[in-house]
Amino acid sequence: MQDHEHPVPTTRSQYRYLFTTKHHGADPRAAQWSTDLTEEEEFSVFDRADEHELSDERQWLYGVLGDAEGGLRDLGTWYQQVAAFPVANEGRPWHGYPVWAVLSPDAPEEARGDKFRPARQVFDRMLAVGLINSRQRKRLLKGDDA
Amino acid sequence: MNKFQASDDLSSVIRFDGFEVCWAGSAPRENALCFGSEDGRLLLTNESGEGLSSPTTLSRSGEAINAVAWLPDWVSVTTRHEVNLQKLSTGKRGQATLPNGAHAVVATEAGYFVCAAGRLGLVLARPDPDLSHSPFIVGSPEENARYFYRIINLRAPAGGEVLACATRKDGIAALEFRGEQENYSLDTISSPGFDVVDVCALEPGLDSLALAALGRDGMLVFFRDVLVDKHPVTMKFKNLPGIAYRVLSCRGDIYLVTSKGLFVLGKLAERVLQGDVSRPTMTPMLTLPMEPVDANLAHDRWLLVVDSEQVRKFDVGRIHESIAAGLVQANGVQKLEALAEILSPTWEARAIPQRSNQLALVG
Repeated sequence: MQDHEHPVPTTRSQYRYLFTTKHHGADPRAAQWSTDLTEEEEFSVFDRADEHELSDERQWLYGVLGDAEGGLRDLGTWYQQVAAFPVANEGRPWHGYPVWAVLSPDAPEEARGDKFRPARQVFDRMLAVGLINSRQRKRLLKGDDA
Repeated sequence: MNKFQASDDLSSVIRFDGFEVCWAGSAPRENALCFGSEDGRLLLTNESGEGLSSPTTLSRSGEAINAVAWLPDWVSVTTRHEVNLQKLSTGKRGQATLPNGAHAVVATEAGYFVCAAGRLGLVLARPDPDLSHSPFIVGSPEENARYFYRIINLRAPAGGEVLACATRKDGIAALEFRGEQENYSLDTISSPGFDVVDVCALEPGLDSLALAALGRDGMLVFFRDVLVDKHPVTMKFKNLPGIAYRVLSCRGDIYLVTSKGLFVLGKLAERVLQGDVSRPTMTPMLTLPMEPVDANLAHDRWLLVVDSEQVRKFDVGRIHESIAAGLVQANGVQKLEALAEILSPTWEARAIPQRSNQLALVG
């Protein structure tokens, strides 16, 4: 696989989205998207994050994906259920990766800043728009499987 | 802090104004309870939920508390962001923070806190008054890395401690723990598709390596000795709804907590220990529909179930008597007979070398 863009941008903001090799197997130190997830499903997490403005104060977007049993899908290879999409530079496509449920010192991208991401307010917003329920919100806040 | 409490025959409800509970368990005073909040505070109460002191902030990052463990003069509080160690008595320096999040923490008899720290491995810290012992990580190289999600400690009948862990799709892992060493061996047992989300002692408080493990799909696996059994008893109860979160054992009963409720399987642990589960048999089951977030036993007397708004404190003695006698009087409780399918999955057992590495403290 090479880095490539999703054929259409997001519905709300017309953001372009890049599938990166770094988070699809090329860099074993980086968080990896689950191979069970299709590219359409990965893009849908981003599209919905944009649609519902699931952002923090840095304007990063965050998303989840529900499953058929009322739970959340694992988005990453290490049971991550939340994905982060760092804000892209003007005119550049966005990209994303699954966020560790608990902070690991060797996860450099997520260790930036003095707070773990996503912030509580992001989960509050996910609850408000109906992407998660209050039980799932509390479990995600704790780093638990939801 | 105002507290709201209501009760029925089996349980009472505890709720605090301005303190959003996300974890509940026991505190190391007689019958004392401990509550962790979404914003990283800890509250100790008596058995009725009346505060013994004001809530104390123990998470340096202000994150939601997901586990608490106690040593004689220390408490450890874990969150998704960090591991906090706090000395209980005043005096010398008594606070430290480890720079990794964790899912769970236990205290060992040897005086260590041991955290299940996800893909990082196990993180061990032995607090002392000067915090002179560096914490360390027990893990393995990337190709053998496991995801440490839950942890308990067991006392072996022959002496010594065993740390037993739920390591998700890598199964159950057990490690004989003799304090700080350079090398360890992790005994693992797994089965394709079995996603282990919790483990519990089948004989809590006794010198026993009997253990129950819970799959995310509700599958239950029982070991009479987690270091020896390579073909554990495996079963799945039909019509048991929800995503499985916790398994707990008390007085011979099994408590199973899923996203859809609390399910009490009468005398199931007792039957497993007696070797009486080789064929499908009906098990008395109490069903309490609710939406639990987490649950823990406290003092062998109560089960504390946290949901999105409150804590329900169940009297495990009354539940045990009720399920045995067929008498249940509580709102919303259903008593059923549940049939378990006995399964024979393929198990793979491995011994995986682990190395220890130092971990720096923060602050």
